[in-house]
Amino acid sequence: MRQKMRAVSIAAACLVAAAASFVMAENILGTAGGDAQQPPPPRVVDQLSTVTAEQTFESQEPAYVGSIDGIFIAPTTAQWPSADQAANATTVAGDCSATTLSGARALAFSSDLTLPASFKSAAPPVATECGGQPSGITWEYSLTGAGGIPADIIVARSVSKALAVRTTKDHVLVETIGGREAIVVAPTTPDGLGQTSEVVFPESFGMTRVHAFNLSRDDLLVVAAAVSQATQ
Amino acid sequence: MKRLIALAAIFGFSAAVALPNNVLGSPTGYTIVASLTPPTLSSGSSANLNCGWHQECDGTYPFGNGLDWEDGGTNYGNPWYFRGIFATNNPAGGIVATGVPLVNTQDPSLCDKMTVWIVEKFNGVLRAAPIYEHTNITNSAQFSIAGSVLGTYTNRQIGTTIDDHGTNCPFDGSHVHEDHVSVNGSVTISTDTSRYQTGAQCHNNHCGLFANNSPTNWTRRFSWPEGS
Repeated sequence: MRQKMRAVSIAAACLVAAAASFVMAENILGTAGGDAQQPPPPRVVDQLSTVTAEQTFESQEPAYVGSIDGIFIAPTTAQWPSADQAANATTVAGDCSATTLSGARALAFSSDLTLPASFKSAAPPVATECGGQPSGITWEYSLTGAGGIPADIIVARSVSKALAVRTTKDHVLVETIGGREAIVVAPTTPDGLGQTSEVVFPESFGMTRVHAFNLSRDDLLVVAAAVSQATQ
Repeated sequence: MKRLIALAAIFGFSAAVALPNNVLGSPTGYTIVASLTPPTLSSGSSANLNCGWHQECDGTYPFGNGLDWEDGGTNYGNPWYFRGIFATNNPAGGIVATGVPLVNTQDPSLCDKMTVWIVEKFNGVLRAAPIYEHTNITNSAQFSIAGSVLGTYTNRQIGTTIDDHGTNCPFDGSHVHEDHVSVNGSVTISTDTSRYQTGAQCHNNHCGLFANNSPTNWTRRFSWPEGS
């Protein structure tokens, strides 16, 4: 009888140990592979259908072609004024290559650009010279954007004074951001899923801009506010 | 007795690992593996690597997920392809994902970047986002991606290479900078850093030829439990 009791208790202990380790493994793997307690990832295909429908509707509207605060906006460079086309052609004709940040210091920010901690630097800043003249500095950041998908954010200072972007009159806004007037081309849908967006600050040398992909309108303005501060 | 309990614990842990994923929260229990291959030149050609793993191929060569592929011509406008081998352990195979070409950046000042979102067919979730820089998109239509146990090859022209000189784009000739971003915690990403050298070690033209349709020449690999 005692032997039987001992066998039963051993079996029970083994069962508990096996079950406990099974649950532990499930928890470990579940966390690594998508915890069941997390909200389910979004169905991107459905969301993109909404975006496409909005964009198709907007494509029926005439594209914005015009100048705001000295920055010319048109869908293609061919629609820029001849002076802007010539300036761009002249700038890039001398070839454009990487240069040192100190070589492009004329385009540096007045004060450090500081974004909220949720924005991560995606690459070291890149300075460019065209024809031996400093022409731009670019910073790149990422942020978990629409639907949990990383957004790509480029902050750029450039000698260019024209943009090639297709938008409509309703989507080009002039707003005061951080005390500076800025041109805002917001994404078609507020979450910015799969779309590009822009904020442009006109400068005496050209422009400071925020170009984003897959970034919400709200986060676009957060970056723009920090950029505005850094230019003052 | 202690040994027995320990064995039981090991058995329990092993069972949880070995059982199909549906026990662990994956509805189908299958795994999908996407292995991308060099995006330039026509399928079956040997693509030339111009710069190994890097963020920027600029003289300092900070390490990154980028590879520069020569597009085979002295002029621009050469085709680039979404190219890779898709495997699934589902014996039935079939369509496993949808490819969604999207413009990330298209601008005369900035470096132009296109992406192809790989969206799982089963649950519509974005799984991977390879990036193709210094390019455009000439075919933005979504497309189906098939998978099989042995792997099914997808080769689809998405666009062409461009002259990307710009005020904010250092550029030294026509090529595709192939890259990616991480998009979903369920996805395991690996890059082949043994086959393709780092940028500093491989920054000149012709630092390696790689058959662009060969399963052994995958550059980056994305794998995930289907439906997770």
